Amino acid sequence: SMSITGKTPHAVYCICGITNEDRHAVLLVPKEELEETKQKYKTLTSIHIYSMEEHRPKDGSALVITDYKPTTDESALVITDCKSTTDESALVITDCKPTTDESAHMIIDHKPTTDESTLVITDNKSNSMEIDQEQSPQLLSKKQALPCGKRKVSKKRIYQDAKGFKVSEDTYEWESFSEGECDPRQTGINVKIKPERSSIKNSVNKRGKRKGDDSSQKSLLNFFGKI
Amino acid sequence: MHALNDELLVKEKGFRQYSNLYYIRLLGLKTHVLNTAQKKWGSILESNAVDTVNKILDVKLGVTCCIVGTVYMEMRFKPNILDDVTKEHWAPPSPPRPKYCSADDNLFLEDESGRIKLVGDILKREIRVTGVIMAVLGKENTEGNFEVYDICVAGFPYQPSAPVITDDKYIALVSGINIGPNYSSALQLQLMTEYLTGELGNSFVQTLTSKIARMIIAGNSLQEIKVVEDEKKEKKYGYDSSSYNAQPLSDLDNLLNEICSELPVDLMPGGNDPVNTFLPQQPFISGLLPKACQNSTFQRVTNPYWCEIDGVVFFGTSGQTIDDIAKYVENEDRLKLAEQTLHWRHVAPTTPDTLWCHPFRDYDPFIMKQTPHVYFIGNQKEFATTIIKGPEQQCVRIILLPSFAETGNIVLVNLKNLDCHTVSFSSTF
Repeated sequence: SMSITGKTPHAVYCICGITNEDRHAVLLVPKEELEETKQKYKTLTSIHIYSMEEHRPKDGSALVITDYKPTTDESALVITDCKSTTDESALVITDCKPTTDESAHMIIDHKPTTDESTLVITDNKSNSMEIDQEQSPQLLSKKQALPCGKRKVSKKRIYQDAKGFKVSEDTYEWESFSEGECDPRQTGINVKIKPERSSIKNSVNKRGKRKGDDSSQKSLLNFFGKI
Repeated sequence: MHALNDELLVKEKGFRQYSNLYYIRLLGLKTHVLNTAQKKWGSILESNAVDTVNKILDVKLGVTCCIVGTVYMEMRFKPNILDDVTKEHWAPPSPPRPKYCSADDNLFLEDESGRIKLVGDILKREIRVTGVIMAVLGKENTEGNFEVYDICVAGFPYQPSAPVITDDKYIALVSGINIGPNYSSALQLQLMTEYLTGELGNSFVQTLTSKIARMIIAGNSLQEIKVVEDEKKEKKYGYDSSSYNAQPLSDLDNLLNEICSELPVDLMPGGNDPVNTFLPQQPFISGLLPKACQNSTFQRVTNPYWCEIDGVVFFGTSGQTIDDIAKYVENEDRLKLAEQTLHWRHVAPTTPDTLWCHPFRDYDPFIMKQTPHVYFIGNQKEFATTIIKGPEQQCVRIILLPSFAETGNIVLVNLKNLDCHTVSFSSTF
C-alpha cells in the first residue's frame, strides 16, 4: 500500500481476546508491537485495524481528538464520516491486501457509519478508491488569488445517485459580492459515504473561470454529469 | 422495585433531629431480629431461666436475658462534633483518619429506654458497627455491664425466586469513570463506547456485545473538583464564576449520549458527583446532561439503586456505605463487609453517625426488604466477586466494581447464571 507521500502508513490494531491470565481484554497496539502482544493472549477473538495514520501516534490522545475535532483546512482533501476528519487520512489507497488473517476489513476511521458498507473497504474484490490529491492544492491557490470579493458559503445537499447510494455533500461555495465577474465555484467537497464512488476524485477539479456563465448557481447534478 | 426506589427519593425539604431515624430503624428490624433469635436460641429462650426483656432499663442483675437494641460504638478516633466545638480555634484541623477503630473502643446497646455497655470476648470476633440492630443473650454483671454469651442479627430478607433465562444476556456495570479537566482515560472511554455500541471487533465480538442489554454506571462519573487558590488573581467577593470548568460535564454528556443510542443506561451518582452528598443521593438534575436526557434510554437514578431486569433483582451503591463501614474495622475484606450488610438486613448502618444521611421520619429506606440477586458496590480498589448463600436458599452474587479511570475494567454479568467477568480496555501507548 502506498500513501501520497510514498511512505507506508502506520496502522493501529485492535485486539480482542482472552489473555494468558484469563481476562477478557480489548487492547490497542501499534503495528510494531502486534506480534509480541499476540503472544500474551490465550484466545484471540478478533484482530482488526483500528485506525491508520501517517506516523505512529505519540499517544492515545491523537486517536481521540480525530474523532471530535473537525479540520477546517480546505487544502487537505478529507474523507469523512459523520464525525471526524483527520489530515492523515487523505491517503491514496490502492488495492490494500487484507493485513490480517482474521479480518478482511480495513476501517480507515474507526467510526464506520451506520450504512451497510463501512467507510473505506478495500478487500481484494472491490475497486480501490483513488483520490486525486495533487491537483487540489494548486487549484485552490489559483482561486484564492482571484481578485473578486468572495465569500464562502457552505451548503449541504443530499441526493441519491444512479447506483442507489445516498450521497450527502457539504459543499463550500464561493459566492461573489460583485456582479457578474466571478462565478460560483466549488472548492472542496466533503463526501459522506462510500466506497466505489469514483466521484470522490471529482470534486476539486474545477478549473478556472467559466466564461460567459451567469452568476446563478448551477445545479450540482450538472457538475457530476461532466465527469 | 418502583416502591423501593420511590422510598429513596427525598421529597420533603425540612430537616429535623436524627433520633427518629434510629427509632424507626429499631421498630422496623426488631421483629425480624426477634424471629431470628427465636430460631437460633429457641431452646434456650423457652427455658424458664431466660427472659425476653422489652426495655434495656428493665434488665435485672444476674438474670440471663435477651435484649434487642441498636449498637453504638464509642470510639476515640471517630469524628465528634463536641470535640470540634471545644478544641482550640487556631489549631489547624487534623486530617480525617482512615480508621476509627482502636483497642479501647466500647460497645453499647441502646434502645428507646436507655443504653447498656456490652462486654465479652465474643464481641471481638464480630464486625462491630454503629447502627446495627441486634439481639444479645447474656446477663448483667456486678459492674453494670452486660456480659454477652451470644449475638443474633436480623439475617437475610426474603428473596423472590430467580427467573429461568435461557439465553445469554449481559448487564454491564461500570463505576468511577472520573472525567475531569485533564483526564487520561479518554482513549479507554472511547474504546469502551465503541465496544458497547458494536463498532469494535469482528462479527464474533459484535454478536457478543449485542447481548449486552443494559449499562449501570455506579457513581463517580466526574472527578472530584479541587479548588486551586490562585494568588495572583484579585480576590473577588462571592463566587468567581470564571473558575468553573464546564468541559468535564459536557464530555460526560457526549459520552452518555453516544452510549444511549444503543443501550439503556442508568446513571447513579457517587461521592464526587454534583449531587447532594448525604445518602440517599438524589438523581442528577436533567439540566446538567441535556443531550443525554433527550434519549428515552437514559435514566437518572438514586444511590443506592434497586433495579429489576427480566426478573433478576439488582441492588447497588456507589461505595460510600462500604467505605464507611470499613473505617470501623481493621480488616479490609470488602466482600465480607458487603455480605455482613445482608446479614444485618441494612445497607448503611453507619448512617447517620459517621455517614451523612437525610433524617427520615416515617421509614428507613436503607432497611433491605428483600435480598437482591446481584449486589454491586462501586468505586472499590479492585474487582472482586463471590456468591453468598443465605439460610433460606437465597443466593446473591456480590460484586465489587473497580474504578474505570484507574483500571480500565468494566464488569459484565450474565443474567442466565449470574456469572460475571471483567473486560479491560487499554492501549500500549
